[in-house]
Amino acid sequence: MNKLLNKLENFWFGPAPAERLAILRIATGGFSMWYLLSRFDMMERIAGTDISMYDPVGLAQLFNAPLPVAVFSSLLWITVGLNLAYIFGWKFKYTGPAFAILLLLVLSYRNSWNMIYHNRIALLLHVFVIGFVAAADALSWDALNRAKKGLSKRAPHWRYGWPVKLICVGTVLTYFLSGAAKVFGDLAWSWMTGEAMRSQVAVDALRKEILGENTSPLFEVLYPYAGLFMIMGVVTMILEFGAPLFLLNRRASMVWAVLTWLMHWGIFFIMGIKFRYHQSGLLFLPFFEIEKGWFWLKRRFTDKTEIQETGGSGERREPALVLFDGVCNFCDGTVRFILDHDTQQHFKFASLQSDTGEKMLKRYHAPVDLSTIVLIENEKVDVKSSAVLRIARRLPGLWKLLFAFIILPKGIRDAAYNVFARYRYQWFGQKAACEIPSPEVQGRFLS
Amino acid sequence: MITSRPFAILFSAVLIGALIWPIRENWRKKPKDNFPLSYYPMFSHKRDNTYTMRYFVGYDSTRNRYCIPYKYLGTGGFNQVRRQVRKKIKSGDREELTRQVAVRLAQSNRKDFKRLVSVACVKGTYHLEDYFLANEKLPLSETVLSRQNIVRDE
Repeated sequence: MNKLLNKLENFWFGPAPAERLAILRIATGGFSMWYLLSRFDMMERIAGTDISMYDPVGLAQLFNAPLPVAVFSSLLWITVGLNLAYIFGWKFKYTGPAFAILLLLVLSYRNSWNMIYHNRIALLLHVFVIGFVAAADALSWDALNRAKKGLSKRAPHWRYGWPVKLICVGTVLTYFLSGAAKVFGDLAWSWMTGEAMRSQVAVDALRKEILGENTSPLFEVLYPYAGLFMIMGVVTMILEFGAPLFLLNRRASMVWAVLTWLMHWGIFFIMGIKFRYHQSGLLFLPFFEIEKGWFWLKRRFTDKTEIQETGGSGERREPALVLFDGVCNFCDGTVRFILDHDTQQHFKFASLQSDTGEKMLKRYHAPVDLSTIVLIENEKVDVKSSAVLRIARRLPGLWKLLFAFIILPKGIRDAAYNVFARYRYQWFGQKAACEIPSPEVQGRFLS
Repeated sequence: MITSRPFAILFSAVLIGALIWPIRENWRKKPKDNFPLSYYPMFSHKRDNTYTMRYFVGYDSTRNRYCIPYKYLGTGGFNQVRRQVRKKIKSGDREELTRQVAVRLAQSNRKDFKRLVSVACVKGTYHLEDYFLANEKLPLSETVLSRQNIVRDE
């Protein structure tokens, strides 16, 4: 039981770079800003319609009667203002929670007129989590102020990791509930036969035709093929009811995100229903290491500047740090090999036993284990086989082809690594103490 | 701002609990949806081969039928207006609603709607397969719930 709890804790509080959460803040904030501004007039109009239609939900249940339109308009403006502060991460400690609560209020009120728009729930969930956590420690006004004061950049930390995990869990739960409503409701498992789905789609198309809304031309093409709806029924049920299972494996969760994203496009093409937050892919960003794209862009930009400065003589990357077992002969040989082949001097080194090594392990919450090689590159930590393959990627010639093994499941790769690491002293011997590097390469070693 | 592990655990547990809580609606006799804590009932109702709905039909002087778009019936998106119409009709406001629709149609600039002389609030039943596969666009049955003449200012 304790082992399970520890595993759960390690999973939930795994470190992540501050940029991941920051990018999610900007993405969700950008979408909510677009939504609020594009729906501003319509929301005002709805707030001024027949009060008999008022059926409060969510936070709007605080009000028994509709608010005066002027009050609601003022709330909308304040929400837009806070939305701006949320995007830029300005005084986020206060503006983040305030925006999350006001958006909940405004969207609750907008959904209190006899119609619940389920496609807004995910956005609200994401903003609600991000608003209450340290999402402005990077790419924000607050982070800029910290830098101006000479404070160092935030290292990867659990406080940037768990909110993303919570968002992912919350997201899959919304799909699970949708599947559960079908399974435990009137339909039971009949959704899987496709007939229920076909009827639902037909009812939606009929309503649209009778009430003068555009229908999808694809619907009439597909409607005669009942078998096709059976396949779609099974797939959607797996993606909805089975959604939480995909979270058990990181790659599976990414596959789920892509398939579910495609499902929303399918719904759009067949039923004409727009799930803008979902279709844009923003809903699924938390399932990916989105900061990599940012680092890549940043590096490209930096590289270009450097190329211009050096007259196009070459490019330079941020040095990566390799932490290795300083008393292991094999590890020592590996470091020499990297030194010989790393012509661009991309790597710096420190032994796991050194002060720097210990400090870096602590800073990046990497496992303290002498058998584990650690690579810290672009604020990201890789260990064991992932570290080895990522180092190989930076080496010249055919060595970089080894990186192709990254497509193997991490569990398999690391199992092979573990066997090798366990017998490394036996097979290659061990030194009594860490060796002092020769003067010509001393600059590449952090003591 | 949540910066300690105990608070993070508490926040996560409360949020996950709150999100999953509405699942109990699936076993209630009269489930009620909410926002943002929803049980996502869309597309979960059993449908028959036929479907009954309330809508508006306009008529010209030669009794030709015209379906009236939802934008003439209320404010908001298509589904929101559809639900508003159903609620108003069920609550007995059908006469007033039909009158309002007649006024909006009288003010309409749509060329074909200028021919309309009356509008009716109806409850109609359609056969889905007939409608989409056999192109039978007329309802199996239709009951007029209320009717109004469209009066235009000359």
